[in-house]
Amino acid sequence: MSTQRYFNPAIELMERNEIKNLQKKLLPKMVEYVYGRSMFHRKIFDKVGLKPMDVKSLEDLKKIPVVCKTDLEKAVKDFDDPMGGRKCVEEKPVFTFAPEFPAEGEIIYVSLSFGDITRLAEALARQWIMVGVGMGETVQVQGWSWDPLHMIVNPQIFPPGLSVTTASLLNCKTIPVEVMPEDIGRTVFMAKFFKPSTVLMSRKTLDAMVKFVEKEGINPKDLGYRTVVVRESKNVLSADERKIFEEKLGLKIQSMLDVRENLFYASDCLNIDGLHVWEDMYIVEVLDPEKLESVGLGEYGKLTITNLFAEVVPLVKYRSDVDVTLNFEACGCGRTHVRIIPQNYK
Amino acid sequence: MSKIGGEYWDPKIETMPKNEIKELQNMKVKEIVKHAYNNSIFYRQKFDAANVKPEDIKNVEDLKRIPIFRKDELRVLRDKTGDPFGGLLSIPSSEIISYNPSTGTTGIPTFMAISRGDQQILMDVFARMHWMHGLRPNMKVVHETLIWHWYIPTVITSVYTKFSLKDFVLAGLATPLTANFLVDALLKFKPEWISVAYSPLLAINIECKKRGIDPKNFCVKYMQTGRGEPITETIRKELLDTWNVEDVFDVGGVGEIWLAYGDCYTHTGAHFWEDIYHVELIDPETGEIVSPNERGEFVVTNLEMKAFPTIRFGSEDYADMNTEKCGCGRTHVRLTVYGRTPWLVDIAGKKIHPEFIKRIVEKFPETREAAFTILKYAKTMDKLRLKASYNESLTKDPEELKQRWVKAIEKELKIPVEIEWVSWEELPKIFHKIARITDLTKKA
Repeated sequence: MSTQRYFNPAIELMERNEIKNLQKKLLPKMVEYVYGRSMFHRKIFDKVGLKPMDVKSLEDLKKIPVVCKTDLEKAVKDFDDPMGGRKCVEEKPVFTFAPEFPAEGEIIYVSLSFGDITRLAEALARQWIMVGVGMGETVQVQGWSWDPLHMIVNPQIFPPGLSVTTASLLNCKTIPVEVMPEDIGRTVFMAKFFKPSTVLMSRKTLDAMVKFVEKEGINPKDLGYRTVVVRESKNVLSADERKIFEEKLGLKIQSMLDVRENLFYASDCLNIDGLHVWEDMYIVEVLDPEKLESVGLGEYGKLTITNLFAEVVPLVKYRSDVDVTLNFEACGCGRTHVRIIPQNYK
Repeated sequence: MSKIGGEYWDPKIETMPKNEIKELQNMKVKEIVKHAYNNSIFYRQKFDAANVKPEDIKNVEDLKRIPIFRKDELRVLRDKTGDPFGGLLSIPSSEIISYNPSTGTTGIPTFMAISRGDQQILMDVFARMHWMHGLRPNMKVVHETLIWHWYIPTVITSVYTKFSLKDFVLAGLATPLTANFLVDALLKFKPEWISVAYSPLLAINIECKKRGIDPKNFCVKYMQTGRGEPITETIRKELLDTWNVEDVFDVGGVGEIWLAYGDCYTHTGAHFWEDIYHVELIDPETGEIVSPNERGEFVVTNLEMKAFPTIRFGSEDYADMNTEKCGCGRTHVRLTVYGRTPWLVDIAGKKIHPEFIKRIVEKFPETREAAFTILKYAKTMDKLRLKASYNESLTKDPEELKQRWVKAIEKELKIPVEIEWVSWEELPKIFHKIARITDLTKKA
């Protein structure tokens, strides 16, 4: 088992008032940044007559208009720009990905700079330690090229001083594999040989794996996994689903949520008591989908994320489709950052 | 001829006089042989069995004393010992940064491991090649690939960071189901430079036709394709025409040995970087080096990479070799690679390679995409049986086309042939590649 409990204790265990103070400093900066650089946000702010100077504290968050995926899609057409006017930097090289492919409607591309990759690499490093990955271990990462995750976690070599990845921060090896149910044999086959401690997969591929090992008569214990992290972009595993999978595989199952349009990644700790949000990187709110106002504590609503760190395509007040409630109490694991509790998660 | 000729990523190495390359090789080969012998059980046993000591290898000519090994040998050793690398790994496992499988086109994949140092070398290999293929700083790039594929994601993304690109879109595999995503990216980002494997390119072409999009509108300047499916002159001309690109380049490689090669704007064979890879052509039956100008299986010794040293690896690929200095100014050896030796089939007493058939049928406009698979119904066959598809909009009479195919194949290869038309979707694929051989003997 890993000996390190936290990747960045100074941040992860921060007092709540310190977190608030940090956010209070970062929010106006981000608002000013996107107003000055993102045509998408400027248009939205201008529509309601909001100026960056109007946002001075966290209280002012409610003044900022909420944006959702439909707005992003519309902007692609309105600005006649694949990035929908969201791109804040022109002068730096960027890497562009497509988080998901809707059956209809516009594809929402996201871009990352070296700086963004570095910030996310650390966010993911905190998560990997949180789900029990040990320094130097092997992690199997299912993904596909369109998805930015592999660029953030796998061992890339970037020009000196420009960027790091999660694997390099934790001195981990990775096994990149396709997140494709049809190719589950490759994941299983490689796990048998290299015994990764952790695998990142999706609900669909996990389901395929359960069927595959049953059919092939493979004991899931022989794959070396200690933890299976199931990554979903909308519905994380329900408590019932988790239980069924855990029984079938005899492995610990953890959840990860990614709202990729806003480069948001959150996962639970070993206590499985909500998904930790790194509040030095994001402000989360839960909004009533109709009134677009914050719901009461303990009530469910739509997870709304303000990105505080991204250089290229940060979104402010981005309303996702994920139904959650929030828990601001310190977690049993010691982390003080807010936890999101998706519906049916507990 | 393209304007980009005469420019190099690394002029000193790429245009190095032949004798200097040889000197460099002779220096490096001693080191790598010593490293392999001292750090890998696989090579120690191999050398000892052949009664060769590392000191016996004083130059690349001496390499012929070392027996050739092929992929299957690794698989057998892996299954016997349980060691995923069959005893070949020659660095401490703590130095490894990622594990990747080979494509597994000809069977169960073998595994590769890469260290940080080796990755730096591969980045050089690709940087030279991508520059040769027209990539320049500040360009916009779309690169299509599989996530586990041996040169992705740990290498190619790193390579692109060397070029400081304006925008780099990394795209997932284009299949008939996912080609629309790539089409979207091409339309919206208007990349000047793209890298897409050949079969996915066909899927994109089909998607374009479906949506009434002319690939010329993508405004791509340079295209890199192939990746295991050799780009013949017919295919290249077709791509130049349909995409209106300035040039189309062919890229190939062998995952097991971290080998990548590509042609230059003269399209006279693929440049192998000899400061990194030493190449020989051998007769696969006898293992002897073939006489100059003869075709043979290419055998590679990787002179640089330490994690997984490959000393005389039989690629199971047939090739021609050209040692003359290239018109582009590069001095490194050029190979024309025809295809996998395991795909050779025995028909009416002749060894037939799918590539032979491809080069015949792609000359017909209706089947320029050469989408076919050979039905291998017995170890030795008296007749060539093909399943194939044709371009429906160009074909008036499939029966008549079939007659022309039969005539052409029988004339060129002098074997009897039988053809069954199927749709493109019905053809078997191994990921992004059409399976050239459908082995019916295994199912029985």
